[in-house]
Amino acid sequence: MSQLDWIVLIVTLTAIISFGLVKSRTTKSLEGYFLSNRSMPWYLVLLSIMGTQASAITFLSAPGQAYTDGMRFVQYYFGLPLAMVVLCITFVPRFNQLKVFTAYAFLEQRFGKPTRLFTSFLFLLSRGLSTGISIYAPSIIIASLLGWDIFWTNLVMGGLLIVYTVNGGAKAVAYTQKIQLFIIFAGMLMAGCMIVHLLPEGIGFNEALKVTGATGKLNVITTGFTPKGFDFKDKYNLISGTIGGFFLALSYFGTDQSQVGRYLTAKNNTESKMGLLMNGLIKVPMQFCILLIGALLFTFYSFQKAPIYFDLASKQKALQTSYQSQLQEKEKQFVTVQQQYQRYVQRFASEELHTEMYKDSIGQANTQLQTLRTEYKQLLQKALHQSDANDTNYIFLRFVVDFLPKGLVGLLIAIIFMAAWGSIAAALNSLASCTMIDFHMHFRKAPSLPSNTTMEQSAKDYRLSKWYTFAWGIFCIITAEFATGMGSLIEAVNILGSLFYGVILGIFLVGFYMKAIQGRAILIAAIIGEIIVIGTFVADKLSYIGIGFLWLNVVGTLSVVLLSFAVQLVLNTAKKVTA
Amino acid sequence: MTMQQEKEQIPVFSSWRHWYVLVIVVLIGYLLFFTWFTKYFA
Repeated sequence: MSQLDWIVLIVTLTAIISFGLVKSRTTKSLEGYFLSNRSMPWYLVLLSIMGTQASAITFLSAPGQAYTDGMRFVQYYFGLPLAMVVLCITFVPRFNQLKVFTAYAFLEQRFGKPTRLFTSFLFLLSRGLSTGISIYAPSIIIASLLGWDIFWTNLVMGGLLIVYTVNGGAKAVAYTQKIQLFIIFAGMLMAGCMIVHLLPEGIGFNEALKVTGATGKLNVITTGFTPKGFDFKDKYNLISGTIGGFFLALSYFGTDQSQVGRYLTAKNNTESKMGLLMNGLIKVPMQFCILLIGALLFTFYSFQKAPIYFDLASKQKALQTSYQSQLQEKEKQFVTVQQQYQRYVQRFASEELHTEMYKDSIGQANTQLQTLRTEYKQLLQKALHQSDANDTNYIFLRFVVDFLPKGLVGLLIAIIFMAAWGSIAAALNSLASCTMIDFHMHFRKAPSLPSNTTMEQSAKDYRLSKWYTFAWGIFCIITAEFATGMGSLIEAVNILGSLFYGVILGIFLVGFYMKAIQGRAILIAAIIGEIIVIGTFVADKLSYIGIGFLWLNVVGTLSVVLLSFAVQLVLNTAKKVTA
Repeated sequence: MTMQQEKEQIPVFSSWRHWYVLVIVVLIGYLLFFTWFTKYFA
């Protein structure tokens, strides 16, 4: 990075931390620290929800996803607006009516303490681990691209935000997320404009879309149907995105404290609902625009020499192994096909006539390039003994580092940090709130409800909550440091999340809609439901069945709902017989 | 309509139901646009 980039990076990050500290002044009570005294307007709730969901990987991975697989990933978000509606009808009024601090407090009122503690524990475990990975995942990419030390990158990525998160709690998190999101959107817009600007003369936005479309990358809508019927293994299509995405979004926004904690900061029901509904309106076009940047990037590399593999550090390592000659041979073939492909693309973009002929040639050449890239990755995997050689996350930043002007590179790196901080800060705040409210206050001798405590106790709880936030920050950084060298951990944590989300959602849905179900029945149903989800996952891994991970959320939710009904019937019958 | 709903000041519309319909209609609008977009550039 140039000196100017360093200045931009340091100034931007320092400004964010300072802003967070300035906005740290809050009431020294648990309600002030964790819920910002329930005083936030809807637009801050909206930005906080969006800032929490959009992690660094969102901005790194989505353009890369569009580059490699096209824009169909946007379908993953089609269920989100529907989930926002259900949340506003069911979850939000109930949470606000009960004045809960955490989502799991509702479960105690409905099913008893064991269900609350069990669900909150699951949240702490999965969110604590995944937040550590949220630090590690962007750190390893930045460290690899810029040659930074991963230990220090993890420390800066996870450490600096602790300063304002510990100090200011939910209020500082929300206010910094607002500024972070504005800078992120401005930076991404600039990056998108730069891609179009850097295209050859005569190739504008429309021509770029024409070329990208010819390669099949603008495949926003796919049905998932093949000549053999619906493909359940297909991750992103209209049906799995709408149904699976609906359950995933309902579970994430309705039962994950890192999100629930955001809309509980709203000053009333209306502001919570408006924040969520606006998220439902904005999220889909926002993801579409981020993916479009990736699709345009593909066009950009159709006129430039595109690397066969975007993680250059891993590539260099692989070239020092016995696979060197095979890798070089594959790259040579790639360059030859790419030159041919570029000739077709140039003719296709510049000619009005005979475009269909070139379109077919482009499609064929592109397929050949994809095959060569896949074969290259397989060789690289063998060379480095890695379980995964996916370079999707490197594509966008590789472009940033190689082609963007001085200053803008620093800003884009700062954006990655800020995107990471937005989601990590909210996660730390929610982890601390669950530890304090769900566990600490329940196992101590003093009153267990924040509203019943004395002024002195309230001040003590406030100080202790800051320590819990700090401790979780340290835990997540340590997790990130240990994650180094465990390439497949990111995938493992994602799978772990999808294994539990559906069951947790099922517990909440039964709590809201099935009044006859009691605590014992729901616990039994949740355990059996979890076994079914894990069984489905194992069956998929052993190739007995084929099912995309989004469907696990549906399986978990439906299992708990149906089983709780059946178990309650059995328990009622047994009770009658005994009586 | 519940007591709680009556107390709430709903922005723009007279009831939340209108907001929910708007979100669903906009989603359908997105789907139609994306279908056109996919077909046009395919």
